[in-house]
Amino acid sequence: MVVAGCVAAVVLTGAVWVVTLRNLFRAALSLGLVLLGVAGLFILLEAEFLAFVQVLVYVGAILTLVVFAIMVTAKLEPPEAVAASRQSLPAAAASLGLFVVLVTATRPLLQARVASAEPVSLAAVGQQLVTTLVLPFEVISLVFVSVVVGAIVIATPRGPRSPE
Amino acid sequence: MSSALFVPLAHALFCLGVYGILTRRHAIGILLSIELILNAAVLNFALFSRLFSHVAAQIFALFIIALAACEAVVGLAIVLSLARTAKTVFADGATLLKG
Amino acid sequence: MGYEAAVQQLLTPTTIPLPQLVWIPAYPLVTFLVLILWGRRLGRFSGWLAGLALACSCGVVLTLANAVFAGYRIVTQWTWLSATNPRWTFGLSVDGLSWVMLVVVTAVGMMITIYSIGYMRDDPRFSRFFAYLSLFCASMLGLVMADHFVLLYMCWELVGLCSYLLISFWFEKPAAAAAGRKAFLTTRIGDTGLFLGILLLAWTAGELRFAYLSLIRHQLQPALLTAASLLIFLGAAGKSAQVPLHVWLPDAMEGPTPVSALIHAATMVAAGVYLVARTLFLFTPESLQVVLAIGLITHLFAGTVALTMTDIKRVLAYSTLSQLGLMMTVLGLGAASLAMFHLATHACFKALLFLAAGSVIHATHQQELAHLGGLRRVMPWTAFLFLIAALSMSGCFPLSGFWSKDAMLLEAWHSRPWLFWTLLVGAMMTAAYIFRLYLRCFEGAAGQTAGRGAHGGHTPASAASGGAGRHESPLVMMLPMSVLALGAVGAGLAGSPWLHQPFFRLLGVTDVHEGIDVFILTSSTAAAAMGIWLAWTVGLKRRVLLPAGLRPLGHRLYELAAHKYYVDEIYERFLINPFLAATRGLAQFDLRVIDGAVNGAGSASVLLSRWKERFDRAVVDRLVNGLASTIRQAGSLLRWIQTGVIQQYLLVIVVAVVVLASVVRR
Repeated sequence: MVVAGCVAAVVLTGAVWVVTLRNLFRAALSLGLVLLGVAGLFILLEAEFLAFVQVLVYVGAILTLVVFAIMVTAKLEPPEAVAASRQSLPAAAASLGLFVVLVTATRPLLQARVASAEPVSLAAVGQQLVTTLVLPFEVISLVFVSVVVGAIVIATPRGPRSPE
Repeated sequence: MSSALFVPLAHALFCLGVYGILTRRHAIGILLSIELILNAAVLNFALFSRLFSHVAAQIFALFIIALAACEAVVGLAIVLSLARTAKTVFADGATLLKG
Repeated sequence: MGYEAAVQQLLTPTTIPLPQLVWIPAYPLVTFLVLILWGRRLGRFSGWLAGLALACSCGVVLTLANAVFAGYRIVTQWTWLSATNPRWTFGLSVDGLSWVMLVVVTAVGMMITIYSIGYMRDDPRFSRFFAYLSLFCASMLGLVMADHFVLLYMCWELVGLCSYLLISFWFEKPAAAAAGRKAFLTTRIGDTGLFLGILLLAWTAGELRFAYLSLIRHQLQPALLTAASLLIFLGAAGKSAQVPLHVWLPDAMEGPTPVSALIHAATMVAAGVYLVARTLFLFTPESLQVVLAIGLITHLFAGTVALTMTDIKRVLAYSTLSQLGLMMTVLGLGAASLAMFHLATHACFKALLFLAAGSVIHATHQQELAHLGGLRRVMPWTAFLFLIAALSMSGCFPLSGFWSKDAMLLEAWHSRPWLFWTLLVGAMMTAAYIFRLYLRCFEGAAGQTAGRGAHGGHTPASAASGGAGRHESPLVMMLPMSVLALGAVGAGLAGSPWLHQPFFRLLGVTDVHEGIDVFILTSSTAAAAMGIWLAWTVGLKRRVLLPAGLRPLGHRLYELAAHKYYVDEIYERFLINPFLAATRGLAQFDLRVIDGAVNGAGSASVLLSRWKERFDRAVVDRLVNGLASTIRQAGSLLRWIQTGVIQQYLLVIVVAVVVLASVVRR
């Protein structure tokens, strides 16, 4: 329980850093911290596979990609000095309000609950993936394809005609 | 493993992510906040999968992570395109919706 | 309808229906229409056409002679109103009285029409003159043939209209236009009386046909009869220019001389006499006394004035007035046939006198006696005809005027002797003024030739300078005058005992005095001779006969008569000026009050609209513009929200979600 609390604190701190740090690079690294912390929470929740996937995909791929993008766009705007947004206060208020709403809405869930006996096994996950949930599984691959194509289309500069 | 901890944590992550979206001026900063939100959702799913021994929940969490990857790809492609056209990476530079 | 049937039965034995009667007024009426429409193209022929129409009418009239002399009444009728009960039938009827008038109108009219062809030769509106003349003849013929009061009234008005048109024929002259108006308005007063009389009869007796009225006369109350007859006499007094409605006749001399001859000597003014003669059965002894009084006053009044006038046509005008007064006097005695007799003879010699005067004017372009004189040497034939007419008018045996005048004097002697002596004085005056005119014009020294276009009337066709163009008139003018002279000479024989008075038998008078009364003969001849001598001495030789003591009085009386007894001035001062002042007052009222009210309303609405405009601009426009600008401001305010920065939109979404979620609670 204490461990969970410490990890939660790390996650929270990292999250706060992500949204507040001026230096974008450091914000990206804070996100890495958050992601790792969440992976740790997954392990505590006895969802090891999920933790592996989280680290592999999120930290390994996504975060790397983000860092690359930061570096690519660093020419335009140095990631160091970024001015604060004009609507920090209203946004803070709104987020706080949202938090309150969410918490009050899910109050029945906040009662301490004992986990059930069995954690979910990996075998069960695998089995579900290829039987009941095979459709989403396949669709995901389609999504991947379309995403790749779309990203290429979006990111590709136009022909020699256009000035971009 | 008590939901009394994880659920508010997920909520907090979510709200922080929302705060980040509303506040961050750099486009990639917004993307980072979006990842936070998604993570909050994943955390929730994982928690409930453990609490109620629900397999589908975990699978859903996997799907979310996969989709997060897709979304990051597309988002970064958009950022690059924005950087190319508007010559800026700040979100306030994209004001074509201005009425 | 027992009444209608009964009357029909009474009247039928003596009536002959003849639809062709309509032709008598139809010929001149059609001529009028033709000349009005195509007169200009017909040109010179218009005059002959008018004469021809009258000749045809005259022919038709003469064919009726036999029946009329036999005592029959020739009628034709048609339904005028079939909606009333009983129906109104108008008709034309010719009995002795009408027949006499018909002969006079057609014969004298024909002569004057032919004369006018020469007189109006150079007038630019030649054909229109004959159009009017034809219309006049048509309406006059209709008037004397009408058997219904309303038809008579219609023709009466038409005749008045023609008189107006013809008097002011040369309307470029303001005097002529004014004279036409004066004639119309004065006779209008009389016409109103006539109309009221007709209304009275219609309302009380319920019958307006002459034949029927004469039969039911005894059923009507005397008071009613007196009132109705006096009203009718008022109409006759207007048309026949009795005092005090006589003022239009002298002024009517502004018209062309043929007009004066036809209308104001022979026919129209005789219409009043005809009317009284026709309706004499309605007159009670009281109303007859009024008629006699007025007629006598007119006769003497006009006679004295005629002695002082210096314009040829004015003398003749007053002479006509005097003779009309004489006719009315005789009517006042109840002797309609005598009045008609004198009317017929008067028509002949008065028309001749006017035409001769016209000849003089045509030749000399003068009308003032001062500028005339000794014309017998230049125009002998005209002088001769004038002399014949003058002798006839004075009542010289055996000319026509003698017979009519003698008959009247006889009647006066037998009814009211004082009247006889008064009429004798009148006869003397008549001879005096007419011979004064003849002598001054045709005898004696030649008058000074004044400038051309001298005082008095407009003269037609003057290219010749004064003096050089004095000559006899052309044949087309002389011939009709000669025919009239024949009438002036011989017409009286119709009433003379030598032919057994066919005239009086024609008019249904049975008791006529046979033979010539010597006393009357001598006294009338003496009066005429006296008058002629007076004209010679005082008028021509200018000897003064009054003893010295009476001379101032004589002068004053002369001046009074010369100014026509100031009647015109009195009217002007006491009637016309107050009336005009009232009119001006009303006009001022109209201008100030009514126009002021209207203009005030106009300017009030302008003022109101200005206020409204101000209000509109200040309030309404401000409201509308304010509304528009408010909306615009609201829009720009709202637009401020549309920053295009997506994060702000997202903020709104989040806030909205929060709000919604907190409001909607399970």
